[in-house]
This record gives sequence, structure tokens and C-alpha cells, in this order.
Amino acid sequence: MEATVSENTQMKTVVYDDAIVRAFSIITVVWGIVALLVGVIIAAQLSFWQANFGVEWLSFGRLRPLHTNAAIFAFVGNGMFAGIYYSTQRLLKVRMASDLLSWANFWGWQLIIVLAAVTYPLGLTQGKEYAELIWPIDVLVVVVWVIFAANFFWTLAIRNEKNMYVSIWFYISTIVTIAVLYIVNNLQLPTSLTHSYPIFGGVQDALVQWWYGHNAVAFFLTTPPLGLMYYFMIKAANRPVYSYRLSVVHFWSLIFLYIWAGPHHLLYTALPDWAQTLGMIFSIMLWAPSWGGMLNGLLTLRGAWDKLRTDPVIKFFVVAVTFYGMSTFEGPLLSIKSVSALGHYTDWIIGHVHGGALGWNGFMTFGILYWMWPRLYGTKLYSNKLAELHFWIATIAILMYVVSMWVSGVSQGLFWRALDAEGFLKYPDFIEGLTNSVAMYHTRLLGGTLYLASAFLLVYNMIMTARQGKPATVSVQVPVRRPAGDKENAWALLTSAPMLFIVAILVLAVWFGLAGSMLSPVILALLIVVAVAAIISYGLHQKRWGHWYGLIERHALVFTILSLVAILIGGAVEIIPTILESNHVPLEITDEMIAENPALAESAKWIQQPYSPLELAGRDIYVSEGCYLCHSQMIRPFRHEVLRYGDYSRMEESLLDHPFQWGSKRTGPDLARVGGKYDNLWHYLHLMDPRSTSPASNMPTYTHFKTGTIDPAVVAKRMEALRMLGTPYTDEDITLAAQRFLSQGQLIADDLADKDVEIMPDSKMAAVIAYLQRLGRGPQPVAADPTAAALGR
Amino acid sequence: MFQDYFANSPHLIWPLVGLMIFVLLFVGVLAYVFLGLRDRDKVNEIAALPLADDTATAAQPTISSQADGRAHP
Repeated sequence: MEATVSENTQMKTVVYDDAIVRAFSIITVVWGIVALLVGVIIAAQLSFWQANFGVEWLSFGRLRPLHTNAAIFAFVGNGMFAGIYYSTQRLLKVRMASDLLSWANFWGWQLIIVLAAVTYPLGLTQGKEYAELIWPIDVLVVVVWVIFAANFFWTLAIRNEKNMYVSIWFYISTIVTIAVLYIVNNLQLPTSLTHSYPIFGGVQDALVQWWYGHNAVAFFLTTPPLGLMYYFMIKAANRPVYSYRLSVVHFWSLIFLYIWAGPHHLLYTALPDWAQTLGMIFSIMLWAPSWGGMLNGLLTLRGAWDKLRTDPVIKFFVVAVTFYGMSTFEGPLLSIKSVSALGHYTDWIIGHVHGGALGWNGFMTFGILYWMWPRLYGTKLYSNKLAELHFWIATIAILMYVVSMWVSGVSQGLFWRALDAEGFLKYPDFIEGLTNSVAMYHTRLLGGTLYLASAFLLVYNMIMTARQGKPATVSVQVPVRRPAGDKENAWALLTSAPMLFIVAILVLAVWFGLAGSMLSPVILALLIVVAVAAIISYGLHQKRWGHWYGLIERHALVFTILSLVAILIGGAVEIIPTILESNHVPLEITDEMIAENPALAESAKWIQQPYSPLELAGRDIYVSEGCYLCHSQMIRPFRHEVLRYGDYSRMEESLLDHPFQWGSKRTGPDLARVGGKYDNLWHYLHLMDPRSTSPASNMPTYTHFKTGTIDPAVVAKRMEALRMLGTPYTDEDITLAAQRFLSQGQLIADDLADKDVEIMPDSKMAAVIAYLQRLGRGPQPVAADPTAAALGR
Repeated sequence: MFQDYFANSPHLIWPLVGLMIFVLLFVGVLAYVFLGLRDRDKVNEIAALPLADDTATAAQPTISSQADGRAHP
């Protein structure tokens, strides 16, 4: 830190580290262009299947994770770092604690993104949305995040401003929550340097994944931009936040509620009903704090609305916050079970996500860059007119994108559920819903292309702005002031009267809930006594009570602990019961168990049996190719779904799936019961050229399945890993894995040979066909002749 | 059927407990906002923090830009 004590010992000079902000700003734009470009490519692939170019590493399933990760972690992530580094130093009146850590954060994050950009097209993925990075990169993410956290909290510790402004709270919650989410969701058992299985399977994995997935949106795409909004919007408007009080309520209620909302991604699935209901209720409750924050942002412009006409930065911020409001209205709406029944798996969700990503995150980032960039170069923005043009083109582009996806999504939902007068499917061919959406897909492609094109205006404006200025070094004179809050002993704060009263009330309230009918009146009486005592204490020591929370707001450690507790409560009460109960669910139901509980006879026929070696290999390819991004494996309990796909999916059927493959989108049909629906030849033809069996399909070709082969020894190793995770493979299963792998592959190869098609028994094609033929069915034959059959189960 | 394992779980009290904790804390935060944050000057001081770093007064930090002699905008 370049700080020197001036002549006045009460003041010192602080030189902000804006070089790191410039670096993050530049790379934000670079990765933003990449993310948008890949987005346009995959949008083109959905419009025109030929845009997959028949190249395996350019297929939709491999590029889609690249697009989402680049948008979230590279574009928004780097923009977040730029904004946090800029605002934190100024809000705390101190340079970042360590330049070394700042640059380690920068280069480490870019390394992660480059590794992601290389591994995804190669098909190296964990198969979980927004958490696709393979385990060694996950480790790197954790290391870089810890570096960022260490630098941030160190800076908090040496700050020269005693108060922690609301933006800092949002940054703190982001740091601690992302750490928890990322680590828990990426608990893996590696089988090689590039492959692993998640320790959770089936319903557990589904719940943990969407707890992570939704809160990645919450704590990576929402809380950091909110913190940035509370700083940069205030700067742009040059007036204080509309209501500081509202920001307090906004912060605490938002972080406490958001963490519960994950299960709304799994409505009507095999997730326990109570978890679905919790997810729905908390999502609807989330509406209130979200709109509180939005209104707080918009009302900050009171008296300054005239700037909206002339200042492109304000335009970007206002539309960004408006999109935030719209997305946080639409999210709870989609979380209502009956609305989810229509919208889930359709393009409506894609429209919802992009309203948030392009409108809220994109425009916030653009607004921040337009405001911050000239200041980083000690000059003015090169062209306000170009910024205005960027704004209008991007706004029109978003509307084209979002509206087309709404129309497409609602149409798809209606197509899928339409029944005729006799109660049968009106549109039994899935492809009809897709062909109906083609025009909307073209509109989406046009909107995405326009948004990408408009971003080049930003690039040009930034280059020209930088050329007319020079990197600025900003130094400030700040009073030498130790943060008053940190002088307070953390333990003393946590054991002060207000905290003790709060804990006592919480404990009694919980006890009241747990106690039986005899004890509960006593506990209720105690609760009332403690509450009255708290009120009396407040009356006697009003100043001290008021002062207490103020101290907590200034005490970084205590504040961080309380934030962590708030987010842990929601996560723990949802996930732990599911994990505990899943561990008690039997993987085998015996006659004795049925005699004790006859209802188990129904479950017995649904319980999943382990995959054969070839099927497991096929499943790993299915995951690697990102098939789950277009095909679900979860039939919801609706008549139209049962008619189209077969009996609804049970929790029992996917308990051994690491990772779960329930999916979240149906560009193609559900595959949960596709096994046995078509013969091997149909699958071969479909994978080689989807149009040959499904005219108008937009699925990529998978011709490389025919030439690519699998080493059976690798499969055996993976079976051993799965056994460690609870899959009941026997020693014999693993010893004979290679033989069974080849014999089952030979069965499929022989069957195709009868129809004049040649494939190798150890080919990827044989493996994928074996997996698809297994879906929704029990174990399939792994050998034909009686001798070899002995090798089978 | 396996849904029954979860529907009858003794652990299902905990989501309700979590909800109760949220409600109580929410009431606490509201109480703090309305009762504890009555010092308008203090609130205004904190709310204006983002603006303070550009303000050059004796009590506040001063800013100078050294961008090759250019004034900070």
C-alpha cells in the first residue's frame, strides 16, 4: 500500500490501486464479447442445425456450458471484480491490502476462464449446469476465491472509514455464500485428472445442484450487482440512496430468503413435496425484498430524472434496475406450481434468464463501465452519442430476445399439454412444438446478434476514451482512523444484552415448536416473559440498543458471521433432511420388508439397478456431450406427460445417478423411458443424422460416436468409484467389467450388422445406444450365448 | 412410495423452525430500522458515504488526480 503520513499526523495519503480496476474492466469487455459471440453461435445452431458444422467440439451440448460460464463468470464476474475493487477502496478509504493478491485474483480468474474455454469444447464436464468445470479447475476456483476473500477482508481490517456502507454488506454476503455453495455442490470423487463423480446422487444431487444453481444467480448475479448499484447509481445520480433504512431490510431479508428458493427449479419432479412447497413459498416471499431494492434504486433518482434524457449512464442503470424488477417479478411467478407446470422445460425460462442476464447484469456492467472508464483515464467519455446508440440497440435487442422466448415458451407449453376431445394428445409428435418455435428462434438469433453488435460500440468508445486520456492515479487525503467497530471485542458484541435476548427468544421459539402439548404452554409463558424483559431492557437502555447494531454494522467479523449464519439456515434445513432421509432409503427391498410394509411392493419394481459397464460408459458420454441440456429425464405426473413419455418418474429410479440427469429444458423430448421404444438401428440413424428419423429436428449429428472408442479398463475404474459412493457393484461386477462391456457391445454390433450397419463393440456408438436402451428399464442382457451369459447378472 | 420416507421424516420440523427464525429476525430488523435508526444525521452520514469520497473538505478526504496534470472529472 502506497500510503505516507503527511505533515498533519491526523491525515495520510492513500493512492488507490486503479490499475487492477482497469485490467478487470478491459477483460470484462473481452470476455463479454466472447460470451455473446458463443451465445449467438448456439442460438444459430438452434435455428439452423448446420451451424454445428458437424464438428464435435462445436456442437450445441459442448458450447452451451461455454456460453453460460463465459457470461456468468467471465463477463459478469470480471465486471463484478472491477466494480468491487473500485468501490471498496473508495468506500473504505484505503488502497486494497495487497497488490500481489489483487493481481493473483486477476490472473488466477483469467486462467480459470481459459481452462474452461478449452475443456468444455473437449467434452470435459461434470454435467451439472453452471458447475460444469472439472474438479482440478474447481480447486483452482476455490484457491482464487480465497485469495479474493483474503484481500477483501484484509482491506476491511485496515480501512480508514469506520462505517461499512451497504455495498460492502452485499460484497461480504457474496464472498461467504459463493464459497459455501461452490464447495458443497462440487464435492466429487475423482476417477482421473479430468473426470469425477459427484458424491451426491439422484434426488440429493438434484436438490444440492439447484440449491447451488439458483443461488449462483442470487449471490453471483444479484447481490454483487446490487452492491454495485448502491454505489455506482448513487455516484451517477450524485445523490444519496433513497432510503438507508430500506437498504437494511432489503439486505437481510434478501440473503435470508434467497437461499431457500432453489427447489422451485424442481417443481412436480421426484423431489419431496415439502421441499418443492418450501421453494415455492420462499420464492414468492422473495418478491418483497427484491422489489424493495429495485424501488430503492429507482427512487434514488428522485429529483434527478431529468438526467435520464441526457446521461446514457443513467439510462443504462434505470433500465438495468427495471429489468431487475421485471425478472424478480417473473421468477416468483414461475415458481408458482401451476405456472411452472406450463413454463418449466420451455423457452419461457430462457427468456426469463436472459431478461436478467442481458438486461440486469449486462446493463449494470455497461453502465458501470461507461461511468468508471473515463475516470480511470482522467478524461471524459469519448462519445455520449455512441453510448446512447449502444443503449438503444441493446434495449431493442433484449426485447426481441425476451419476447420471442416468451412467445416460444408459452406456445411450447400449450402444445405439449393440448388434449383432444377424447383426452388424448392433440400434438403427439414432439417436433410439432419445435417447428412452431422456429420463427421465434430466428428472432432470438437476430436479437442476440444485435446485442453483440452493440457491444462493439462500447469497445470502440472505451478505446477512444483511453486514447484521449492517460491512466489516472487517484490519491486522497484521509483521516488516520482506526475503525471504531473493530475496537469492540467481537465476543463482547456477540454476548451483549440485545444478542442474548435474541438468542433466548429464538431458542424458546424453536423449543416451543418442538415441545409436546404439556410443555409448550410453559415455554410459551417463558417466551412472553423474555420478550417483555427485552422490551423493558430496550426501554431502559435505548441508546445502547440502538448503538449495538451500529457496532455490528461496523464490525466486519461479526457482520460476516451473522451473514453466514443467515444463509446457512436456509440451506441446511432444506438439504440436511433430504440427505439424512435419502441415506435411509433402501436400495433393495426384500420379501420381509414387503411383509412388514406391503406398500413397498410398489417401490420394489421401480428401484434402480446399477448400470452395466457399457451402459455406464454410454451414460458418461451422454453427460460429456451435454445431452441433458436439451433432453430431460423426468416425467412429471401430468396426464399429457404420461401419455407422451410413459409412467411418471419416481424418486427410486435415479438414486444411483451420479450426476442426476433430470434436466431443465426440452428442446428435444424427455428420455426417461426411451429404452425399448425404438430399435438399435433407429438410435444409430438418429445419432448419425437426426433428420433421417425426425425431420425438422435441430439436433447436432454425432458421427464421431461411430469412430470413437472407449477403453473398458477406464470403465472398471469408474465402477469402483461409484461403488465407493454407494452403487451396489459386486467384486465380480468389477472384475468382469471389461468382458461384459465388450460382450454387450458385440450384441449391439451384431444386431446392427444384421441391418447392414457396422460398428465396433467398443465404440462410443455402442455405448450410447446401450445407455439409451436402458433408460426406464431394468438390466438388459450383456451377452448372447449361454457361456457368455454366465458372465451376466 | 419413496416420497413417503420424506413425507414422514421427523426432520421436517426444521424447515418450520427455519421459517420461524426468519420471521423473528425479520421482525427484529424492522424493529431496529424503525426504533434503532432514529438518528437522522447518522443515517444521512452513512447513506452519503459513496458521495463523500469526492468531497474535499477539511474533515473529509480530499482528492487529487495526477493524470498527467488533468483534472479529475
